[in-house]
Amino acid sequence: MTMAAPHAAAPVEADSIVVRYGRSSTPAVSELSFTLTQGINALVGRNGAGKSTVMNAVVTLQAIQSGRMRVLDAELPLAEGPRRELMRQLGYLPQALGYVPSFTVTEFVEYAAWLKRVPSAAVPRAAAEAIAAVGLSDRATSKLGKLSGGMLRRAGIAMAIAHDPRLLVLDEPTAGLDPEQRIRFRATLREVAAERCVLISSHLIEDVHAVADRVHILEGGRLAFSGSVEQMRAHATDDAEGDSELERAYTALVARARARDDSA
Amino acid sequence: MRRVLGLELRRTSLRYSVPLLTLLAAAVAFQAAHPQLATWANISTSMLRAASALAPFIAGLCAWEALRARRRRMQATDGTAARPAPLIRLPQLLGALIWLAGSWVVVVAATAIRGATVGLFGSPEVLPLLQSLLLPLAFAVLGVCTAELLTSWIAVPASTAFGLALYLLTFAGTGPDALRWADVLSRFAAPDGWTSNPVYFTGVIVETVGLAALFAALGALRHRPYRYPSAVAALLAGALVVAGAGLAIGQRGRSTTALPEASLTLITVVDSRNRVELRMLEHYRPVAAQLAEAWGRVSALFADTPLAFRRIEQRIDADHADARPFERLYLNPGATDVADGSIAEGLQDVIGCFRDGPAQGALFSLDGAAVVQSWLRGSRDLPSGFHTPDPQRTLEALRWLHELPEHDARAWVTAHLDQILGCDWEPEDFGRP
Repeated sequence: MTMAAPHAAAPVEADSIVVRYGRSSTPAVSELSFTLTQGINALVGRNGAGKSTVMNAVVTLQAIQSGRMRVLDAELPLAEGPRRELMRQLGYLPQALGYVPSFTVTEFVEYAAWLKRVPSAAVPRAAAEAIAAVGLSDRATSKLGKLSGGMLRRAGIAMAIAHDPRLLVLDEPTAGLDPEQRIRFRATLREVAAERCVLISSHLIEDVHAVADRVHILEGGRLAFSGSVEQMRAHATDDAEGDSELERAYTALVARARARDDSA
Repeated sequence: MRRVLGLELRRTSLRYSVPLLTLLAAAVAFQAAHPQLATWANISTSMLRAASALAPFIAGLCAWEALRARRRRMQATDGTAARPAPLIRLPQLLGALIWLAGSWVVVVAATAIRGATVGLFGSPEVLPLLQSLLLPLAFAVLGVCTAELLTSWIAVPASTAFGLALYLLTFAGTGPDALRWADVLSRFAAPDGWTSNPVYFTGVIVETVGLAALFAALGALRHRPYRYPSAVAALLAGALVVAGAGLAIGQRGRSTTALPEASLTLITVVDSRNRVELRMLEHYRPVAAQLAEAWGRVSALFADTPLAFRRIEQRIDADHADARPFERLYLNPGATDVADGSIAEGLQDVIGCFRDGPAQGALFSLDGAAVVQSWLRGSRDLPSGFHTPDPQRTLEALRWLHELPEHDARAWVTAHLDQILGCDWEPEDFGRP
């Protein structure tokens, strides 16, 4: 598989975006600004913090009500034609991976490549390389319904990278995986993240520590922190809850954000 | 596209349901096929009946299959596809259509092979056969597009309900005439001397294609970027539906038209034993010998009476009005036993009480008529559905007639001709002291 060329501008830039579901008075994401850079960007927060909403906004499945957002040089919202062009450069693994159990791994990945308009002649090779990249070559002809949870997530990543996207968005990719599978998964992620912008969401701090280049902490739909893992670690306090320094930094940053919101 | 189409063909859930549908369609088609004869007109009728019967359920099945992305929670994958939303469903729809077309080929081949074993007559009636193919395909499109529009399981009963509403129009005969005439589900059955009406079938074919295009356009309407072209396509498809329906209504729903008499080929068969000559349409050749033997026996029995006949001919527009005894050869191609049915029908012109009711005051009137009818048909059973207070006595009378030697039987017919014509029977007429 050929890797995407490095991109000069930030792959994703959000400026004061607001996302509201239906007629809800409380926005799911409020006045959120962030920038995603090359490498692995981790979006961290508790359940309901707005991680999936941000991811859905990045992949254009969720419209933003106000603010500005640029994804791979394209200003959202996009007309149908440019949106489809953007989708060619974007890979997405949703939190709940949908699949047809009777499809084999190869069929699933080839189908995804077809959806992304990979040229017909290039589909078998692209699928085979994506499957090899996630270490599933020996299960390429297995039906998806027969795979373990960890293998399914890897098949999902193969599906998301088959068309060699410039931006890869993985929503809770380690959810449901056992420790061994998580370790193997992180290795896979590091492989596919080389020279590509990856956005992963997680509520597991150890995942962040292991793979992320940059961390974005969400709390109550607002940004509580944005910076490198080392910068995040510096926020750890002795009185904060957590077993590791990074966990204490996380709880301290979240507590500070809550206090700020409460006072506001 | 070809690769994904191949994937859909291999993995669609229709690969389980279509073989079952094929068996059902074959069962309906075989049930509608003539037991003793085989004509392409009859095969077209059978195929149309099978297609009409299964079309609503095909719509439901295809709606279920089209909801796969929703059932399997693949909306996010589809939503981030780089292909236009309607195009994503296309391989799935094409896969379903290919499976259904394959099923149609299997059923046509099965009925044609069965026909060939009997002696298949005529040439394929192209338009009705084409309509029998288009019907399931159009209903498949209806199912897929209803699912696309409603995006929930309700699409399954909703798409089935459309076909069931057409059932009410066609088979229950409800609703205004114009709607019934324009109904794409067929009542087609071409009797002897008739063929499919090309104008009517052109109309329903245009209407069916128009309906499929209309459903497809309505299905695409859900996707905002394609609303304008979809609306234009829906309008054009609607115009097709109206034009097709107009043609069918213009024909007052008549699916058949009479063949010119000159185009009908009659064959002559002579019973070698009794020298009676039968003239009938060519496609009765498979049962011609049976007919000649059955009518030869009747001819021999009436040989010494004023009703003696040496020739009997099929008349295409025949009914019983003003028919003289043994003048017309009535043939029902769909009869289980064409020869037996022909004798039974021919006796309607002979046995008076079948038309005028039993003779006054005669206690054994109807029993006697039934006995004579069964005997002349060569049957040892009373006519089906015939009830008598004393079946034992009636069966004894029939047995007595069957045991008469040939010469005595002929003499008995000559002696009892008035009773045969007028049904003035007593048990004593059948050998009882």
